[in-house]
Amino acid sequence: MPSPFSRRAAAGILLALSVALVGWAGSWESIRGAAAVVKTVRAGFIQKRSVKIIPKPLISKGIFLYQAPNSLRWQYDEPARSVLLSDAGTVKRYTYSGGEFVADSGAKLEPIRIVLDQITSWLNGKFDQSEAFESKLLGGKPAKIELNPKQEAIGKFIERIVITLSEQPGVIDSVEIIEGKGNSILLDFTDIELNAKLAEGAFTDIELPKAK
Amino acid sequence: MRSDSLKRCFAPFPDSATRSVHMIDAILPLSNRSTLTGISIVDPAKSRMRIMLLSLEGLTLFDGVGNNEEVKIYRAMGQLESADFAGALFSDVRFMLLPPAAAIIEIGRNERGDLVCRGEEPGGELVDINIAADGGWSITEMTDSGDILRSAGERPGGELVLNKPGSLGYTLNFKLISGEKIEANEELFTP
Repeated sequence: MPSPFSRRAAAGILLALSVALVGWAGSWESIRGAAAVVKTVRAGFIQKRSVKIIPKPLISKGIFLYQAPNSLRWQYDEPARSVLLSDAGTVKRYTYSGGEFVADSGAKLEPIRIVLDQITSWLNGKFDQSEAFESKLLGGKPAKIELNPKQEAIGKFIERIVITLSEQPGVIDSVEIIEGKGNSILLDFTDIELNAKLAEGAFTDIELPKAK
Repeated sequence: MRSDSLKRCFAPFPDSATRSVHMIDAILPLSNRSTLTGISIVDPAKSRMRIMLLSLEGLTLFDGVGNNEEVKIYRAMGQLESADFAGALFSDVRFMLLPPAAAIIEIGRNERGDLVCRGEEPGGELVDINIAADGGWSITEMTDSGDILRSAGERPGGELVLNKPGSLGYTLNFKLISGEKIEANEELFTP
């Protein structure tokens, strides 16, 4: 009779083999498995906001930090500065205005709280467990996940979301939110680092210490 | 002489369709402050506008069209769904970006030497357009007894500012990101 250790080892080898053969994005189970080893994410991002009535997308840039299970820092550096902090169930946003960071009122944060909850569940690999979206795993290289709103209230604002997975297990390359009629938001992540040590106060402090 | 002065007074307002993108810093009642991206298409020939407000994260908070008679909301989120908000938004943007519909009743100079064109709106409110010697301008809407209802103008550096005084008043600072003359077509005013 095999020991529990050898059963666990065999399961691990099977998971590794399946990842090697079909990629980490072959099934919801393998995606969850890859996400489970991601404890922190540090990345830059470029946001391209396409609007049908303007000829060129609006470009914003910033940094994105995540710590499992549900801490996020979503910081815009240009063209306007703002910081969204989500930690231990509280969400705060500060925008740089009149020479200082000013807190937004709670009421204005409700739509963004919904978005942050979704991002957190994606980073935990739980694409298929959303109450708000029905998920479809699309094949191909790079692998993509399509999310379609289940609720009419969300469908009024979002036609669908397409998440492009990286070849590197546990990594999301981009998120495209399609509003429909030529309007969309594309978030491209850059310089992605997994399981790096993040600065103290990354999810609570408005300004981070400058990198040395 | 009068026609030259009138021309100078109306010079800050576009005489053909324009498309602008602004970063809007809104200083609101009860110490609230918000930063938004605003997209506006203004078509003076038909007195119509398309306005979109986006959060910094890119979410569409408001999208609608309006002319002198009505405002149609295409898409709005949360508190911005109200007809009162949409009406006030279009009224403010029209005040800042479209030539006033007021009939000009007086042209002269104030104590600083600025050229002033005074108009009277159909409701009896007065509108003063001030053109300074350095080219700076402002527009002020007042009651017939001279109480300021709102004012707007251009700061040095090109930033537009709209101010509505009072306990529920607010200040909107518009920093231009891009602006261009365009050919207005129906597609720009449909959802």
